[in-house]
Amino acid sequence: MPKTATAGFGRMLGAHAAGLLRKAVAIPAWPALALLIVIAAIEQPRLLSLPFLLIILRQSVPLALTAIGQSLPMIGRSIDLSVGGVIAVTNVTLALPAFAAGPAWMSLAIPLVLGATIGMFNAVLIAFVRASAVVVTLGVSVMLVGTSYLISGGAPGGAVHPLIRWIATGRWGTFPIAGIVLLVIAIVAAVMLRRSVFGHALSATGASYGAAWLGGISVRKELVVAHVLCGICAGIAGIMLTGYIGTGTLNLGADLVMASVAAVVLGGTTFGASAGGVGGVFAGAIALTFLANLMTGMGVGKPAQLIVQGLIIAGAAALARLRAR
Amino acid sequence: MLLEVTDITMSFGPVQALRGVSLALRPGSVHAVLGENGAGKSTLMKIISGVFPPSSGEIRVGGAPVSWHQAEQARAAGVSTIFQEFILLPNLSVAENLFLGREPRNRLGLIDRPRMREESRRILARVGLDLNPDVLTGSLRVAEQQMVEIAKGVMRDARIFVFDEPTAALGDREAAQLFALIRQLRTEGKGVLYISHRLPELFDLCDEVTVLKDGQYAGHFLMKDTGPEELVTTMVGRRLDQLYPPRPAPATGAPLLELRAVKVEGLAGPVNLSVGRNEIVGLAGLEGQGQIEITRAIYEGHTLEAGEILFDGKAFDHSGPTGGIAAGIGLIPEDRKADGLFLPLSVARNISAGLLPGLGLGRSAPQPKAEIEAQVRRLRIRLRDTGQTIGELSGGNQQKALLARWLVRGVRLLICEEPTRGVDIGAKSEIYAILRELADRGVPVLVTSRELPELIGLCDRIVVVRDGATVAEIPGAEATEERIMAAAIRGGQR
Repeated sequence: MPKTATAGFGRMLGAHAAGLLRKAVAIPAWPALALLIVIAAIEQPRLLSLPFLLIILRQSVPLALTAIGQSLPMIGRSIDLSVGGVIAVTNVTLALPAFAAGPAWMSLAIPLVLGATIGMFNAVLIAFVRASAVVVTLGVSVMLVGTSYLISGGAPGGAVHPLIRWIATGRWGTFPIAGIVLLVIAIVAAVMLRRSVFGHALSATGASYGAAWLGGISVRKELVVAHVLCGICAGIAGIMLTGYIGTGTLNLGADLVMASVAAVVLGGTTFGASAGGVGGVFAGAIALTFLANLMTGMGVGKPAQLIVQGLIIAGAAALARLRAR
Repeated sequence: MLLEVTDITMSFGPVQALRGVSLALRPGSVHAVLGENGAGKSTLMKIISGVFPPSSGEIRVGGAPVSWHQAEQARAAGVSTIFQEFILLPNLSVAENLFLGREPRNRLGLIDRPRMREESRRILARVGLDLNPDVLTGSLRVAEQQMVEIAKGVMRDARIFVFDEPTAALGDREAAQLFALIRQLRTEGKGVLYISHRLPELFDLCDEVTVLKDGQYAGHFLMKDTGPEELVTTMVGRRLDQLYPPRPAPATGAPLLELRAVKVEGLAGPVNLSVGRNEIVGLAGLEGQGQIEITRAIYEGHTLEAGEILFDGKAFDHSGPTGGIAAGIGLIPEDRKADGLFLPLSVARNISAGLLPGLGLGRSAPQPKAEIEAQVRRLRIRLRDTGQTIGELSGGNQQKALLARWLVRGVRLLICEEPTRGVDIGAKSEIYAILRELADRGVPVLVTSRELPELIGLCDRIVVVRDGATVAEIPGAEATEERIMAAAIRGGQR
């Protein structure tokens, strides 16, 4: 009798372990984060102190915001590679004297309007013309980078509005304001995806466009909303990055494009299904940021860091492919 | 013996797909493998075609034991498999596919195209396919692609041909062409293993049959010594005449749906059709005579060139599925995987998706857990829990989940295109019972099906469609396959 009980327990444990393993493959961000923390505890324990963790949180804000936005089109089987362009244009725009010295609402609102407009433009070409999302958004991205050169006159610089600097670098007690903004947006996005008609319909559209259309789901509307919200998130990420560096620069945000896609895939989101939800995407963004800090702390140079990041992005793409089977 | 499979066992993790299955294939015979979905037929075929090795057991080809780990090894040993999903490359020509990996070379070491073309023509002629070897394989009809696949086997001197439900995607004429070819393979002394759900064609074609049930050997019969009843009983432990629910007395009263002299764009028309409030009405006809266009015209609301559609006595004009759904019509599409299911999503999400149409995007999404659970119990959908991914369920359970989607919404009329395609016999009878129960409760059902016995057993009335027009209407109780076919092919007179 006790013997069978142990056997039963063993089997239960086995089933549990198998379930955990399946989860780990489905949402690699969490085990990756755990692994990074273990490495940090051994190699760079100071990375795990509270002040430093808050710094990592603040550093991860632009990537996390972009990735949360990026996850929306990706759930709907689309993608937005123009997020970097939105960030670049936002950056040089906010560094214009008219914005730096002008009213604060302009610096806050214009990036959001810009992001929404670009998202709408992408969505019309993708959802109505049924053009390739990769090509369309890549083209738009090139267009935006050109626009940013035009705005900055090729010689960026200047200052930004103090409010923008405060949002990006300010603290509430010890907690970074940017972190609060990120958490609020993450929670809103999570609730939206889990509970709203939009979230459910978007997953259905991503899972099968044909079945969603035949099932009476307004497939195009979902894709438009997803792209517009993605653009807005990129706009907010642009505000944060600009406030953080405090000036205009060339091609800011270019590295966030692929990194955001990687964070989404690490976070367990594939076309249609979002195994990890917004939490997974958040974890993916934190893991990538933590990795960069860890490597810097361990004296790994920029070239090697780029190689590792590239490997992770390529690996994430392979993972997404494997999961789709 | 051409092929002997002895005591095969196959486990996938904790799941035992096959337990002690044996089978022997004689040269010059067509050997059917019969069983419900999940009985292990496909697993057995994959082992025989070398896709994966068995956990235990022995395979002998021509008396010599073999051990395969790749499909290529089985192919080299003379086993040619025609899978449901083809492995021909659609972007290559027929000749290139036939010679893939063994292209003839000329003196310069380049591919000898004239020779390839000529030999392709010869091989294609041998399988009775009159085809230009230069056409792209992807542009061929499914039946022709199958023939090319067979030609490839013939060319490589395969001795054993394995067919995995080859007629699932074929019309009657194409199926007849395939059967002729299989018979020819038999006279040439090849051995053919043939998987199919369709009992009638097995009697038409096969010499013997091995029945599997729950991954185990359940029986072996010579076709001439057995009948459908015995096979079904062996396969499911249930008698055939219990497959369909009893038909109630003919219904009266005003119809819920009426099509009056409707002409749909691209079809000759006219279509006259009515569906009463307690009826199951079937649309019969040869492949692609407009059955699907008619159901879609009702559901999606195509522009009509003539005539009118009345729903509940009122003109019914809409564009897009949302219109049909808003009126209370649900549709279960013929291609369940592509047009019905959200494969990566959970069963619960697949069912509650039926509640989304018509709701604003900002609204909270309805997730009626209790009601979904109730439908799962009522329809006896077999699953771990409603959070399970729907792609993991069997065809029958997926189909029931689509039914649940519309039941949760509470539709007034259900359109079922091919209600039991790829569904095993046990689930078939359950689906028939559900459709009948719906009709009894006042939710009529419009059914299309390629399988005439299904329409005859299930429907109150069968409307025959030919060339986009309704040409006959036969009460279900009086319908026979002969009557339906006579109407479906009658003349060519316009």
